[in-house]
Amino acid sequence: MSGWANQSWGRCNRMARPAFWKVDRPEEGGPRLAHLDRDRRLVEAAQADPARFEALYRKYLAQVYSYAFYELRDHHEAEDATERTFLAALTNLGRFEERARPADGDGASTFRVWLFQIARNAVAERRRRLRRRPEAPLEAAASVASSLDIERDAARRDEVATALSAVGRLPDDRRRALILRFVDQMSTAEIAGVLGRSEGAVRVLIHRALRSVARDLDDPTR
Amino acid sequence: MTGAPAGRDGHEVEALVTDRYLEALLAAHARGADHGPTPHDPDDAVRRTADRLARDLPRFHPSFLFEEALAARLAAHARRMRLPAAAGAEGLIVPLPTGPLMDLLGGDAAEAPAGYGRRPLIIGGALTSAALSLAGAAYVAWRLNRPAAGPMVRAARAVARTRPV
Repeated sequence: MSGWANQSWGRCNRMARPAFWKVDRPEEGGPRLAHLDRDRRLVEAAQADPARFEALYRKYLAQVYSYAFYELRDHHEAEDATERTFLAALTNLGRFEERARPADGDGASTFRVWLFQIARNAVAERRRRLRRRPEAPLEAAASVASSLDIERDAARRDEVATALSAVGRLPDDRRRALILRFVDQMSTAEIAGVLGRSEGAVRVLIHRALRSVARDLDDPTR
Repeated sequence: MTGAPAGRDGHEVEALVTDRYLEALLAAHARGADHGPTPHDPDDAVRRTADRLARDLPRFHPSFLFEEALAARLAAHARRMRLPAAAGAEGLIVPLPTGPLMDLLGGDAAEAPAGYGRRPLIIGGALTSAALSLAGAAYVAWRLNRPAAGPMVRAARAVARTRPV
């Protein structure tokens, strides 16, 4: 068995352990389960006092907005979807239940998955409304919204525009998975939660998306 | 990568190798470090594309105005959410008018206890209950004074009058 396969089996076994595998240092006289969800304390504070939702809002605003912008390719539509997402999240926060598993990894956040599921619905609703409108190329839309984030250097801008253009030509599901992985830096498990697919399916989706983009970038006619 | 099995399993193995590579690559980017070679890198085309996307795909941020306006809207929404949670907050506190209400109740304003008129009243559950009670008493009085409709009712009332209270 190769070294890679050994690593892989080791990982599978680790993931298969029950939820009690990881215990924090004892606190107040006794051991307790680890806080697997990195947002747990912020979520609990916001559930107790809705005014404290602001910390979660500031933490995830750019991520939700970016996701909406890559999907909708319009600054105002992305803002609208972002607003709906956070208002819906605040309204329904009392119903959110943390479901982090050890297999999700140390940095996992089931709150973020839940938030992005709301964002995905908000974006889908906007897209249904905008179906009749011609879709702007991603790189053109980005040039309008990029004044704060993309460097002014012309060569760099060209590179960014080429990458955006290649990503913009991907089928919806591949593009979505790629954006969640690269821009929002989600783990495969988190993306699977957001998209409602298995982790294996998400891995294949991202791998195929990278192959498509590679072909596109290497194509001299583009 | 070499030696990967063909077919569906081959795709899954390649996808897993790519996933491992992306984990290492994005973690290095998050730390602001360069990502060195790993024992099982994906093929050149995938690796170069992944490196490029990790570098070139921007994360967008909404305008400062939008961020602050939405923060204010969320704060207002949070305040509205907190109100119903407070005990008794489902009603509205209003001052009780002295004269007209005492007239309605058939009492004398002079006999009212000191400060009665200044006592706040919770509108909502409490006043609804009071209104229902008044309506109930009025209905019973009306039924008792209503002329009997039939011989059975007249007989029942006659028996009720003869009974000691």
